[in-house]
Amino acid sequence: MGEKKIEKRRPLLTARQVGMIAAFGGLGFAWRALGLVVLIPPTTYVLGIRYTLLAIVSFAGGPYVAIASGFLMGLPSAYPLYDCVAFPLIGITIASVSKRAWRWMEEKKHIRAYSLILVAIILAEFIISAPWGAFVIAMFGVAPFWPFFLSTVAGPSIVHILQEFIPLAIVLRTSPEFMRPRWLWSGGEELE
Amino acid sequence: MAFDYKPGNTIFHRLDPRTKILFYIVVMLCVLLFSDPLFIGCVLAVIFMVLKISQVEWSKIWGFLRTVAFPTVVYALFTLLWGFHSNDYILFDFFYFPVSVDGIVYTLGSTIRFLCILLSLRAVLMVTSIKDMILGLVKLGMPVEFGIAFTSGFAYLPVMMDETEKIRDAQRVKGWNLKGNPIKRMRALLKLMIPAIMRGIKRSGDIALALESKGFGYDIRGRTYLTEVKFTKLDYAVCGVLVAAAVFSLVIGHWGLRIADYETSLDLLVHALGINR
Repeated sequence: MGEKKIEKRRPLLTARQVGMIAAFGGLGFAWRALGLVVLIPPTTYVLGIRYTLLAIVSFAGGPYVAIASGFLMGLPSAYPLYDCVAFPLIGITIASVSKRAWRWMEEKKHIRAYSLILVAIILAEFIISAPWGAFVIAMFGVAPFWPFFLSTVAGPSIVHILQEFIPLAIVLRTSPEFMRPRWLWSGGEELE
Repeated sequence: MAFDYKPGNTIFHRLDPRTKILFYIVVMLCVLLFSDPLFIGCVLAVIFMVLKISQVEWSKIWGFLRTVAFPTVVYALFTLLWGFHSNDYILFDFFYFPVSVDGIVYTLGSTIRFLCILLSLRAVLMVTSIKDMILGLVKLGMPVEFGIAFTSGFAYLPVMMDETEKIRDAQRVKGWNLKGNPIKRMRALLKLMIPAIMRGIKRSGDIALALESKGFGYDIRGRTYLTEVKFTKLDYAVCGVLVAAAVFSLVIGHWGLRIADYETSLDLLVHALGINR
């Protein structure tokens, strides 16, 4: 009887990151499920807390947290096929600039850092989220691409950009220890 | 809300979650390949049959359909006015947009397709518990850490809902309400967001601490589970039927013989009504 071999590998997610997914993903899910959303007329998009939470948690937790929490937040939606893909993609885009932005913040280059975050959020909304939504809708022949895409970028996307950027900037100032991106692309987090 | 799980012991409840995921994929494939309202209507009928056999309450389905009614109408209008261009069988002009018989048939198909997309996932989630679904996804290759994160997230849902309710009640005491025009409602939501975010930050630390204290990270691949999911003969039989359905849809669908294209219904309708081009 040999001893049981224990696989040693870096975990994809640390306990801190799982905590983020559970708390923020759960909070986003709860808000959507409790109906704490506002429909953005005349589109079918809603305004809630999920975009805000996603921006915060993706910045602090990295791409894997963005994927998991985005998926969790997307599930209670009426259109999970869209949300469960769009949310992780938005989160990954925000996470991809978080380390660079943080470094600039540490170097007191705040305007540059916030501009970078804003550009990433705009790209995520206009280049990823809105086209993806229109693509899914068009692929299934539910509605044509361009009217849906244009109606998205003209209203909901702008609201979502504000909803992601302003609270993220506030939380970066008020909770820097939580927001510091310690995550690694290979999974897990840097050791203290 | 998704994950409106209804416990039961029907044939669909007993299926392995992976079989149910395959069911969802096959439905997606069928509705992607079909554009004829009759064929897509058959897929919708199968979904309703699954819900009926699973003894899901009709009120839950009806409530869901009411929720998606508005976007369904919006998408139908988009498709009817912009999504379909045909110079045949034009009935009238709606402002500057021609409305044709083939446009109506195509729109009808796309509307039923939209309902199929939404209802099929809903049907799967109504007959599958969260823990089974996550276990099924882990068995399909999802990293275990993600499984733990999802399970923890769902386990904390009642806590999060309770906290959100408390924040809402605290604001209600101060005269808060989620009524009025969209701008007023957005401003009202902001008053809930700030305390919710701060609670979320604190709560994530608490969860991390609880996970660490229970040995999170120790032999993560070798975890054992309270319940196991496994394929039975029933699963193999259902998977066989689903694969056959997928092959059939490929043969008659858009990439094959194109029998399930909208022209089938269009021809029937045009002949029945005696409409000329």
